[in-house]
Amino acid sequence: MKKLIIPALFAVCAVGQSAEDANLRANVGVGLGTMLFEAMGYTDTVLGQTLAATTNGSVSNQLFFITTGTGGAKPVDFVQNKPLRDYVNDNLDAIARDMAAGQGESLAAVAELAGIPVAQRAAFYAACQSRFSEVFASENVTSDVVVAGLAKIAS
Amino acid sequence: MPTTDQRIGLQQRRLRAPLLCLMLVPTLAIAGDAITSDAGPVAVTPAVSSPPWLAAAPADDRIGQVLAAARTAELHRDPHWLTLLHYARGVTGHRSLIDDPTFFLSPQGVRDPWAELEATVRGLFDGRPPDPGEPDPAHPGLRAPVAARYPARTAWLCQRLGIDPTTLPVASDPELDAVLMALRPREVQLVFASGFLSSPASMFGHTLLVVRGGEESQLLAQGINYAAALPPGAFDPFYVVKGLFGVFPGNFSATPYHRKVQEYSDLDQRDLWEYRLSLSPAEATALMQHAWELRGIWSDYWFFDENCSFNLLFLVQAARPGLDLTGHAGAWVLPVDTVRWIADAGLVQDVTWRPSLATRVQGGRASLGDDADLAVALARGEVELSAVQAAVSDAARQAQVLDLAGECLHALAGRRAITQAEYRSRLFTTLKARAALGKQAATPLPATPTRPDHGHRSTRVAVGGGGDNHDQSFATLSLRPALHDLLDPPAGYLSTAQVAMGEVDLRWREGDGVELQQLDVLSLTALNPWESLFRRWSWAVVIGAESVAMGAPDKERLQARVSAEAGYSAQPVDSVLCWALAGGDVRGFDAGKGWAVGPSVTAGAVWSLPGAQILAEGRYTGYVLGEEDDVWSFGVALRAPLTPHVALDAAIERRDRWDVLATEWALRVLWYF
Repeated sequence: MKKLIIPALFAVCAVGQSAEDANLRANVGVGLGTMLFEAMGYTDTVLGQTLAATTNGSVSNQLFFITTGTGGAKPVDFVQNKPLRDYVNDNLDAIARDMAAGQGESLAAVAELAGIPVAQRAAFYAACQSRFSEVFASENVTSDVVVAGLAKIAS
Repeated sequence: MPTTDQRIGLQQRRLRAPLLCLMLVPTLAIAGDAITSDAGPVAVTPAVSSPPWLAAAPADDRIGQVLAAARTAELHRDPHWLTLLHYARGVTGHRSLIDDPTFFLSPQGVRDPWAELEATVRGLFDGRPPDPGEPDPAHPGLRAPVAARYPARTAWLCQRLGIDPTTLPVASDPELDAVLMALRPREVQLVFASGFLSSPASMFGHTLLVVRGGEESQLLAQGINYAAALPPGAFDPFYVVKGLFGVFPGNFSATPYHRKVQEYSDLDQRDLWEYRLSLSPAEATALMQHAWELRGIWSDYWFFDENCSFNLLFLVQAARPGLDLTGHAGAWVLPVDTVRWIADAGLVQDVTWRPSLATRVQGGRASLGDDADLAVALARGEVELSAVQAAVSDAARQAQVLDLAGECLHALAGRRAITQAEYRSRLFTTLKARAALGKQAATPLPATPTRPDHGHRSTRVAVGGGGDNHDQSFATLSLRPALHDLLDPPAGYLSTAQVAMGEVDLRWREGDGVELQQLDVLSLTALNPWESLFRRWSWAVVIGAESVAMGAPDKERLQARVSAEAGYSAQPVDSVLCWALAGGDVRGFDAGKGWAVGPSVTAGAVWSLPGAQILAEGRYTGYVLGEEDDVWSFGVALRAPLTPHVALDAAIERRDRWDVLATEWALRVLWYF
């Protein structure tokens, strides 16, 4: 079955794809592929970098990523907290928007990874908002600088 | 001796044949004897690619007893064992769908579940790595002892055979134990990503699994995905073909869920549906154990059946013995159907909708009215922040406008409609102003739409009749394997897309008998309303054949056709979607002797009423080459669902094609199943 209808189909798919490529140049992906971030390891990002900077074609055999945070609320822990740093690195833009709004799912994940006690979360979110300009001192701050800024807020 | 045992014996003989020549241990050739006899240990000659103990006689009575018990209980035919080996009954017989030879301990394991069971049991009692050698980065489990490499097999065999795992030389994998300790799996979700026409491979949607553990935030959970692994490197123009032909190897990988959310929800603008499954923590752990066995293991990826969604079903089955989900699969497996099978098995506890960035932006624009235009203009750089602040003085309202502008910026940058520098500087100023407004109520999300598995079913059959102004009446029967057209009940589907595949339309006329009226191999339409934020082209592609009267009403010819068009669409009000497309049309008939090529234009609209959909479409094709003619048609169709799975369809069309002017009407009953 699949070997019969397939040849006729791919041509159509190719036409559809080229029509849509004009729509969505960012769509380097084919959906078939695992779109993994170039930064599977650790790199420092700035705003906007992860929005379209995905690459298609990475082959990863890694199964299971430990993302649960182990950190405390001390600044030194923040910087050594790799799950937190990786998360901020990957989600810098959503975190920036949530910090400006003083709420949101991405910011809640930061608080969890940073080990902020539940009772102190509301105050942490409010401080992220009121001290937004301190953490994002310029439009070119890197995620490492943001992590350091968050550490200062939490301390 | 029963036939089943003879079969096993034969397989044993096949398995051992090359080894026998080496070792001259003829008693091993008789499987039953080898298992139950008390033949003493023999010299072991390690064979290439075979575990050492396969060549050895049973080291002690215990292995023999265990294997005899397994054989008596026919454990190798147990559905759960077959699940753990990914067996399926296909055209080539009963075999595993896993194509990676390293997944099997026995060289016969891909076709012989007993051989694999025996090899696994022997390996468990042996405790030595079956594949000693240098670590293979592509197959992380390869050099590990059997119990460490196959935790799900081990757990199930120990439970069914009454083996105390602590009595085994190696009971588990310390690495997996550490992972399970850290993750504490407690819940499994099946996540459905809605269809995405920008990528042909994604047009039917996608599924992945999410394992929830000790984390509070859903974003931090484990996503387990099955996908074709593209070779590293540049874009491959033949990926679609290769994907369809099973050229790419597919494998499982895990990714933090927040990365999948970014990929599907933010970048591809696909809504996600999170189906929480009623699996216990122990069952979630069993699923993880089976996933562990599949590290680095590849299978040929087939777009239509052995795809992402189908392969995930094995993981769900591995969680709970007795589940049969893969048995539903036919010649093709649509992701949404696998969701239905899982729901039909009673596994769905509740469903959460995660709207994509685009959906959130659209919802925000709908709720903010005219002020939303300011947010879009700000994101596009058409107005200054100060102008927005002056226009919207209310702090709560201004906060919502700036929140929306931030999301619009994300969407524009993701589509590369603005440069990174523009994005960064606009986002920075917008968010700084937003933060200064303090905490304000978030913009409410749009109402949750119908969940995908509650939409009409995937396959459609239609029966009915009709006639035309040449006094020709006909009966019609059509079958469409998948999936949705613009008139089908929209609940649960993208209302702006048509994905129809393999539709066959047969007609019976008195005197003519049954004829093929139409065949749509594939008909894709993506209508992307062009508006201020998302300026996207719309397009339509049809490949198929239709029966067309040429010269005289009764001179019908089957024309093969390919057409492709692109253009604009608009949504003047929520319930109306209209489009204007232009492109070309190629037709061939009379075994290639006749042909026609020409440009085409199409204009149409679909109007969604409560309880009915109405579509009107006009089309002109000027065939300027080959069989020249000006061909046009105008039709109106109405479709009304009677029940969730039955709809009534009425259509009328006026057309002028190759000197035949006709008006045709038809009334049909559609059944989705």
